[in-house]
Amino acid sequence: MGMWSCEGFCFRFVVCGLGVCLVVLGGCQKPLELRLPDPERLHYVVEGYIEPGVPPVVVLMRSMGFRDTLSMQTYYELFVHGAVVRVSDGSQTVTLREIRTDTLPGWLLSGLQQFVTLPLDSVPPLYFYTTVDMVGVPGRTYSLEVVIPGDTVVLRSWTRIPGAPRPLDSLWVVPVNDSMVELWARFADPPETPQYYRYMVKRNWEPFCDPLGNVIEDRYFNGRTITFDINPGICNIYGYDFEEELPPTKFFRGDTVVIRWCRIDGAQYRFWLTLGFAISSLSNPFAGPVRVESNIEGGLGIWGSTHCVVQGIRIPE
Amino acid sequence: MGRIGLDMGLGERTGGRSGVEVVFWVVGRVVLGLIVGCWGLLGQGGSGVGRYLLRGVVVDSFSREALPFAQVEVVEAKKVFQAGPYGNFSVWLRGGVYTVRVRAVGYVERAVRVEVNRDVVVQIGLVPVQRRLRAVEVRSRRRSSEEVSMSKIRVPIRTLREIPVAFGEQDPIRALRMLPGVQSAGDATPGLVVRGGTPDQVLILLDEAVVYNPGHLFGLFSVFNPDALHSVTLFRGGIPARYGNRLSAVLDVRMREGNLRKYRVRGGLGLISSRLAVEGPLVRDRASFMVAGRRTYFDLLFGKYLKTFTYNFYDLNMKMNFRLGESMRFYLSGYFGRDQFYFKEPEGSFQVWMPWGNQTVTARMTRMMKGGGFLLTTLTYNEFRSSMEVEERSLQVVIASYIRDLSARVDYQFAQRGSHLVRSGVSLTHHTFSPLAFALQTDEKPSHPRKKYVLDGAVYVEDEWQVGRRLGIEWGLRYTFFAHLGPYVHYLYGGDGRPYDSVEYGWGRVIRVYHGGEPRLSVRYRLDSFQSVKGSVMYIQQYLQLVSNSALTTPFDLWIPSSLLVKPARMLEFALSYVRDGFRLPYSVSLGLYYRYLWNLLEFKDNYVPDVNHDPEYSLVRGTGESYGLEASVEYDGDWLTLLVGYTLSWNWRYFPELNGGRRFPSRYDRRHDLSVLVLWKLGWRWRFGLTFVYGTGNTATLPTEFYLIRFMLVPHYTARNNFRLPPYHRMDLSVTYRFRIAKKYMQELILTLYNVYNRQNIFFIWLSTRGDWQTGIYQKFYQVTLFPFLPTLTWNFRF
Repeated sequence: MGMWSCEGFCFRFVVCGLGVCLVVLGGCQKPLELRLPDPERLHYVVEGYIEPGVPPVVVLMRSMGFRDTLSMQTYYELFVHGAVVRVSDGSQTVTLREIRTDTLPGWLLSGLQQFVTLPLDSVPPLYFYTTVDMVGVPGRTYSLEVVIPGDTVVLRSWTRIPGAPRPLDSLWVVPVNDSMVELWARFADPPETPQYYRYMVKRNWEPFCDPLGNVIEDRYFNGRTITFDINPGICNIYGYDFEEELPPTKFFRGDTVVIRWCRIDGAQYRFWLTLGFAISSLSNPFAGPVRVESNIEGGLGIWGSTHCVVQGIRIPE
Repeated sequence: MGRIGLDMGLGERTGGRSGVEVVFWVVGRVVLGLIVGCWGLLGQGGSGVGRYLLRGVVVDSFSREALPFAQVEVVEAKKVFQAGPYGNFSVWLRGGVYTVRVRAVGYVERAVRVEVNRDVVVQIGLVPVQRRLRAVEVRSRRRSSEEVSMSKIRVPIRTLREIPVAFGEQDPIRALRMLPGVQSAGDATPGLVVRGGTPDQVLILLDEAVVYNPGHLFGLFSVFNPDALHSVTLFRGGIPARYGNRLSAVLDVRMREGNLRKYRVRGGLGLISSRLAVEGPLVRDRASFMVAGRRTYFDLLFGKYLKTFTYNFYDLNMKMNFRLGESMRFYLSGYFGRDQFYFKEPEGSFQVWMPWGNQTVTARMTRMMKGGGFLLTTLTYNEFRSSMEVEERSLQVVIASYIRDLSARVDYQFAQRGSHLVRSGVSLTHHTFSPLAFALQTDEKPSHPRKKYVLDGAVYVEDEWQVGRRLGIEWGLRYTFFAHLGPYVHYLYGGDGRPYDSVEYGWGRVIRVYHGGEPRLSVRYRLDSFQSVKGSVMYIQQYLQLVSNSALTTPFDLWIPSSLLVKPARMLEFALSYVRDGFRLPYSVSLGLYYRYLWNLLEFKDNYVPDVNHDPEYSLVRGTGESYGLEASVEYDGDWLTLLVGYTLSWNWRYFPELNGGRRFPSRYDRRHDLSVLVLWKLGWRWRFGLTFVYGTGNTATLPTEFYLIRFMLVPHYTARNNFRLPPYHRMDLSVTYRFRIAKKYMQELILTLYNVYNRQNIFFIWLSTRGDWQTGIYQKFYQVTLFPFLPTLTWNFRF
């Protein structure tokens, strides 16, 4: 039985709608200068995870105003340094320390990346807070507290690590043309519900990436077997040409694909679901604005728990 | 402006075992109380010693079609009243000879002498202005200061035809947007925005059947083929009690009945579509028919060149009219329209097929009663259906929605007696709503797990009461009820957004009942023969609402009926105006104020994402609204020149505790200034020139003020609703019409339309794009899409 996810479909519909608009209305499109009001205040943004057997990792950044430009210089200025980041499992509280990814050896980053949801091997590098004094244990609840230096804002959140996901039953390819293929997966959902899933894709030497619409809820297929296609998404944002490229949806023959197939908590599912819609709605006149759901009290972003298995396939030439 | 805590007796009752009995109890009590009581007071024949009944019908002299809502004046008796929707009137008079003067918009005024020494039946034929035979005849004009209703506008179809429109496609709805207090929400919105309402708050009737989606081509054109239309009447406020279930306005469109004497053909070739209408007698003076069709030919001409997508629409209007003796008529009419859109990804397996359209069928019997009353019995069926079939390799998905109504109503108009003209009636409608039914294979029939069944009914009485020469009152009371019926499953959701339990209601079980009275009052006080002051108060309820999360209106927007969770929207309106008509010159000036307060409006939550597996009513939040403003208009309706200038200054606010941090925010249709100018100039018989200019403050939009970075994706953050205003909309159009004949019989028209003459780049929609690179900087850029630039078009119309 096939599975249909609204997220994937809606993304396609956006592409379809834009395609029609470009054909029909292309000649009547022009840039528009709008003087948007400045935000009353900028927000702190958290992206943090705790996973079984892996230390907690937290990236802490500021948001940017609509008129701000993101460049290599301003990118580093977005990180918040010197914050007091604490994670507690109820019996043990640890304070995380800040590390810049490119100060770690490359072999270590590559190895860690198999087990960590955060894109540690990304280019450009990022600053993150972590510790060696704590690793995640499935079933435990972990609270996060972030105190910002020089600010009264305190960010708080909590998450509970889910059990291990059942692995994907199988992966196979469907040829599209001489060079491209679609990658499909089959998955038998266990009878327990609710279960939320997320997958990340690594192609060849690229870092793991998150295709839009890569979160799934088992509400509508609980206990049944589903099939779905896997998109590569945009993995290497550095050097990506926003004006020319659309997110890829297919793989090349000869690619080696690694998939992290994960169970996630409900808050993380809602975060990634609304985030996908929020981004795609910007360029879709048929969609309304979507506010991304966050579980960070006092800020934006996500403090989530993930329990993953890693699977792979080599696509034949 | 403070909030008003007012409840006009709206009742709510949840269902129990005796739910069906509850419904019939409500209907029965109200019907007995109002209708029978009203008939008892006024329907006792009205005859007295020396009083006779004058009954009549106002018709078109040439086609013999009935003319609705003509003004009838019995001069010697000093009685002025309005004929009914089928041209019918009846009045009790003492014996004598009377002058009956009849006026109808677009027709030459006519006065006839009638001797009333027994009960008399007359048929009064009016000659259309364009076919005037003698130059000395007086053209009928709407005298605004005489009418009690302050917000009724009847626009002649002939005038609508002369207003320049995009692609030369004549469109009554676009033409109505020229009127003060009436706005469009943009170039591609099918409906009307009246006094700050939303398009779904306008009841659109085609021969009494509700049209849920009045747009073709995603709203670029309306579904109304002008060749098939007989009259277009808009109530933009002060809605009579015979109408209900919409808050803002009523657009009552009626099809041509068909010429009872001659066969007529009319049609045209336009840039987008061609149309053809045929009408004529089935049996001379006894039965007639009208058939009108329209189709686009974009797909036929360019289909093989455009491999990625195709589009077309067609519609068909049909009507038959039977005269069953002197006093009875039977009408059968129907509308069938369909849009079809197909898209295929150029180098992929993704394809989508989207058909949608309306269907309406109306059967109506009218009977002139011996006691002078006029009985109308109507059965209507209407359906709006939209679906989307998506296919990608082995995956096939069908999403389908429909609304289906079956309705019966009886209206009775009493004879004009004394200073009262009373109408009364009952109606009952069964609705079936099926939002977003879903199937995984295209050959599988979509299942409809969230079908909703609804029964609504109404009983009304309204009275046009001429208290004296100066004071005129139109009052009405409408009592409505609404029942949400089973089968239905009510899910109980937990904090994680997932259902933890459900309550199942069986077939026919009443789940929720809403009912309440809706009083209406309009008063006119004439200061002198040419000036009057008018006021109106209206309380109204709407049991169905259209909710959309999109910047554009689409056929897939959902109609949400009131239910266990969703309460009916309600509105209280106050309006006041001053009207002055010219003494010698045919002009009219009006200045009006209005204030509206609205309850139980619906919006989607901030974090709503579309999900076909989830009933959208669980994703809605409820709030209130407030709109107020000033309307001014100047109208000159001369023989050769028509001028209409309308201006509206308005404010339109929304209050939703769960949105925008609980702070008020402007409605999407908040428009501070709205100006429209229409000039139609006739130069002899052959040449006609039209000019329109519209200006409107830009719509509001919800735009992000911040972005943040998650996994190198720029994520928007919205801090307020409708926090930005787009640039203003303005445009000027010109049209030149040249009329000529080939032989005497074949009337031809060439219409050159210059749409948007100064090529204003009005915004159809905006979208945001991420641009640049890491070296030079990544930034967000807005782009606007303009739908109609400068567009010269030529249309050829013919008639014989």
